[in-house]
Amino acid sequence: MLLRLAWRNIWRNKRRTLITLGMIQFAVVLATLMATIRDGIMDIQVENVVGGYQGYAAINDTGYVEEPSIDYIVPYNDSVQSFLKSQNLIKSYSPRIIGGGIITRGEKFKIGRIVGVNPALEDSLTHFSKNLVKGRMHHSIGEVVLGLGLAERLKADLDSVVFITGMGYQGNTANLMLKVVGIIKLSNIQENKRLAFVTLEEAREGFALYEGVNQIVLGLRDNTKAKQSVKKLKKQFTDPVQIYSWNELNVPLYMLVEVNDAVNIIVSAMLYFIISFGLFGTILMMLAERKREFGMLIAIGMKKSKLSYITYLENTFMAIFGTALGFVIAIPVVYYLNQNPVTLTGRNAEDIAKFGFEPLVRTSMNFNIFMWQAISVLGISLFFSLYPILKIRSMNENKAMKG
Amino acid sequence: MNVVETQNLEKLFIDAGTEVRAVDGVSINVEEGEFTAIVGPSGSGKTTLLNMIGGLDNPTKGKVQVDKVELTELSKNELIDFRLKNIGFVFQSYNLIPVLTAYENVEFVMLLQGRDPKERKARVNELLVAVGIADKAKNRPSKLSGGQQQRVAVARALAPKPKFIIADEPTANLDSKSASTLLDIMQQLNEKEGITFLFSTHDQRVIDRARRVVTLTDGKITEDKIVDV
Ligand SMILES: Nc1ncnc2c1ncn2[C@@H]1O[C@H](COP(=O)(O)OP(=O)(O)OP(=O)(O)O)[C@@H](O)[C@H]1O
Ligand SMILES: [Mg+2]
Repeated sequence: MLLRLAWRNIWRNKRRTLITLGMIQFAVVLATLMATIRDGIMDIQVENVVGGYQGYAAINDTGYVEEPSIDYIVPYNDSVQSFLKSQNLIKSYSPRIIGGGIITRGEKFKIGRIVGVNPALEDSLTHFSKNLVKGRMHHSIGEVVLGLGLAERLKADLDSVVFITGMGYQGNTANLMLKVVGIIKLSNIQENKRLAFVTLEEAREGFALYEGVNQIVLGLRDNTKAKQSVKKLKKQFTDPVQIYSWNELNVPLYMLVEVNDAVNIIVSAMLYFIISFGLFGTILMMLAERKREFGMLIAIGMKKSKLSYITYLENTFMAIFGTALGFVIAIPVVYYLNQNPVTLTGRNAEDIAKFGFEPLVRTSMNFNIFMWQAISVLGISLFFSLYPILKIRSMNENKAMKG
Repeated sequence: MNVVETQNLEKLFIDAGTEVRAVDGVSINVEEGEFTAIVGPSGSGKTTLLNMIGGLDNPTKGKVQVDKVELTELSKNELIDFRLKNIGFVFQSYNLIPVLTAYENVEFVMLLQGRDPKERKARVNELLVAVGIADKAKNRPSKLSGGQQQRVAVARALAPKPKFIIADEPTANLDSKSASTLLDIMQQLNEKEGITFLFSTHDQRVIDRARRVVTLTDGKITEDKIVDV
């Protein structure tokens, strides 16, 4: 009976109910879309930067994290390799020697990074060969693969010859002459403009680093759990050689992700603040309109707790239904934008690219976002539903009936 | 047997610094089966007296007993429960729940009391016939005239067979024809079911129907007469 009464009360003022439902729905759609888009943009960034070249985890010297210098090395021998192979959490690995230098072709030059890698191992980790725009991966001494941005800057093409002058291990100078065998498009815009890949042996000779490597990049069984996996693995290492997860290796990016999460919370909070006002307005109107009726109900013997329960049911229902209606619109849109990302063009796209972001809008299908939206709306409405209960508690049926 | 007994009932309002003794030492007994009108000019304390007898307002002084229960000794929640189980109410207006049909409104108090469905159905139908609303049982209050609404309210008050019914100016918003129909119905039910009615009114035609007329003036009983029919 109480349920029936609550249900009919909801529809006694259809227009007001529809406006309230619409308002909740609108806020849920807007908040969900904004949160999933912002999250999606960050996901793309993380995928590009971390998934492209940086890796979700890496082993290197503690000093290297602070200052990525070629002088910080970690051992790379048979026992290290068998240790890595024995770890269940680690799927693949790739050793890297990384040196800085000036890359020159004719009159053109650019400061870049020369990365010595074993193409097969590196490919198993980052699937580089898929991103080749031209040519092939390097496999012998004297061959180099350039990032597309770097190649354009140097006006280099296949078979071009480039010179590298750089700083080798412990103050040695490095001088290399290389032939371009491939051009690769790296998803991270910055890396794309400065990386040049050579074989591990070439880097060893050229930079005079005869033992160890600068970094061993790791592919994990589950990259989405990088932080937890690394935490478990950390126990097996002794400083200064340590294992790091991507957020420790790339603190600025991680902070950006964190800030983004915080902004999401703030923006959602603002939207929900607006809903709160709407909902509260509806509740106040409802109370004013039904004051006499409430007085009459108490007068004829209805317990205040029963009456409160009815208003609580009404408001909770509105909140749940409004949120559900919001998701009915939001989820398909979010799903669509997740499957069909929109590439931005024009001025906005250029501005975004300036920050090193890819001008791509793709939503994140993160279940947590939906869950938090639902919890927030429900929390708010349950909170405001307490107001009529307080009012009813202190209501004097005589005064209420006088209007 | 007395359904209502009051002793030196007093109600003092303090309104903007001035004291108003709305009810001033009223002692009155109401016996089972009475059909009694409380009359008096506006502001004489009729509503205040009925509210105290009905457990809707606390006396400043004095005692009210309904069916031997002293109302001044009950807590607010106990009073609500006491009203539910013992007293039927008909107000001047805003009697009905707008989202319920006439039938459901009559059933409402019985539902709150947790009466069994069969009993409810029989009683509601019987009363809807008695008040002449059977054909409009499915109408919501907004689809009923003022007089019809008051008749539904009377049926609602009577449904659980309370100790007595309090009606504060039940005809005040009605035209004289509807008022007279309502009074006919109240009178019939009083005679048929023996339920006590205590109502207030200004209306001489309504006063003429009462079998006992209690006159209040400035919060005091100035006349109390039994009318021979
Ligand atoms: N809540 C209140 N606060 C202050 N004074 C009140 C209050 N309720 C009633 N009064 C005063 O008490 C007196 C009696 O009022 P009451 O409503 O009982 O009269 P009444 O006989 O029912 O009048 P009417 O015929 O107009 O309904 C009046 O002077 C009124 O102003
Ligand atoms: Mg009155």
